[in-house]
Amino acid sequence: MSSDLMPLYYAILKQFMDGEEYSAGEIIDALEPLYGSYKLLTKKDVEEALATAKENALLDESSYDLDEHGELRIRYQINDFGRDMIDRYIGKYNNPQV
Amino acid sequence: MDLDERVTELRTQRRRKYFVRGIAFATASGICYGMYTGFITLAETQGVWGEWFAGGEWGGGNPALSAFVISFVLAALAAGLNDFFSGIWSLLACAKNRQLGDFWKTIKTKPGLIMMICAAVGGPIATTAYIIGLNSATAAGNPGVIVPIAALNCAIGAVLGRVFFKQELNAHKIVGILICLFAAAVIGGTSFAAMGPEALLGCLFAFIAAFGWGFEGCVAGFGTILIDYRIGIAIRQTTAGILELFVMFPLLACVSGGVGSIPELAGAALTDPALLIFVVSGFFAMPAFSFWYKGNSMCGAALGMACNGMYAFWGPFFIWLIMGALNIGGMAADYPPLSPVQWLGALIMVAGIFCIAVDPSRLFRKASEEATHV
Repeated sequence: MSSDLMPLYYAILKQFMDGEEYSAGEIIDALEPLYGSYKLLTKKDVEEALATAKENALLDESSYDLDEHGELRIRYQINDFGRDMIDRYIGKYNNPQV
Repeated sequence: MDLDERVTELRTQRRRKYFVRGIAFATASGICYGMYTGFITLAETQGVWGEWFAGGEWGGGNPALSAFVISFVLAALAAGLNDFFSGIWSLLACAKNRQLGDFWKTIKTKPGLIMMICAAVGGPIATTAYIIGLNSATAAGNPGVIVPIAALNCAIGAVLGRVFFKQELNAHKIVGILICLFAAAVIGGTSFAAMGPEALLGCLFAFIAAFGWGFEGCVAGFGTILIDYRIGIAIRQTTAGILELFVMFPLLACVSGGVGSIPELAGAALTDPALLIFVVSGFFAMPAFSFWYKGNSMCGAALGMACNGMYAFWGPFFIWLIMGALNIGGMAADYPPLSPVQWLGALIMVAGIFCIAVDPSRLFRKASEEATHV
């Protein structure tokens, strides 16, 4: 099963292609069914992945609030550059529908 | 305290924490660059490598190698061993994160292919040229001098970005490039005066390395932001190591006059204890790249590149520390520190790289903005 999946980093980025904003926790919830067995699907690692994507100008920070534990929650949203890059380079890779 | 204030405070805290850690990582990456350079230089003085470079008989009766083999073929072999081992180290890191499946899948996608093309330019061409430069400067008396020349890759990357991708070249970048060129001219010029034409040959090859890495930096920056950085590094190092060992080294060996020299040299290098030092240099080459990316993600690519570029200073520093001051390898007298003017040149180079990467007026504005926002 997992051999049909695209790499986790692609899946994280492509999650944003629906134009919605997501926090690290929400990305994990969305990818859990397919990528639950991945060791790097943790809050710390996904947060780092999103921060990297933001520094690489693929994502923008869109809003901030506190989560249920009183910790800062940053949500991100894709921008035009990110959409263009993802379309152009990894647009054709998709996961099987569950 | 209301909710908005609490969120603002947490954001400020987090940004500051990221910023400081990012600078720490990017600086550590520059230090690792310096250490990997130092250990390669050390490895090349040990065992059979020492005999090869001494230019006499080696391995108990084999005839001395030709100047071409010593300059070029051994450089490809050394670069290949270093990159291959660092590829293995980075694959082990991926295995620890259970990323090997993703590694394999990424290779078969477009961003993975771009990464491999970049590695083909940055590895066999640039890294080999870097080692050629190091070696001929070693022969001339001081390997440290060429490292700051190779660090021109930031300046060249900025110019290539302008030519290929129509990226902006602001005033601060142009000033930075001029500062770097000036520093490189000072270091190269004083080496020439003190050490003779061989040092200049070293500087020339270091310049080719800077060109290759500059190209790699500006293309890779475009194609690789879609790959997890740990996987990206593993692709880069394994591709570079394999191409250097299995294409560049045999190719150069054939040119120099014999297929027979391939197994002879490779066999001697692989069975010599100095191989372990290449394992160590490869170990430092891995975080040199991986901390660079991690640092970029935390303090911004521009500042990250600047901190990393401090290897212009750390390279000669660690060559001098490991082989000169600590006298590991027992050849201290052959590894003098740079002259005061050259150390100054290396520091000016670091300042120039900072100017290219970071707009000083903007950095200043950002800092004062953050201060008033708190």
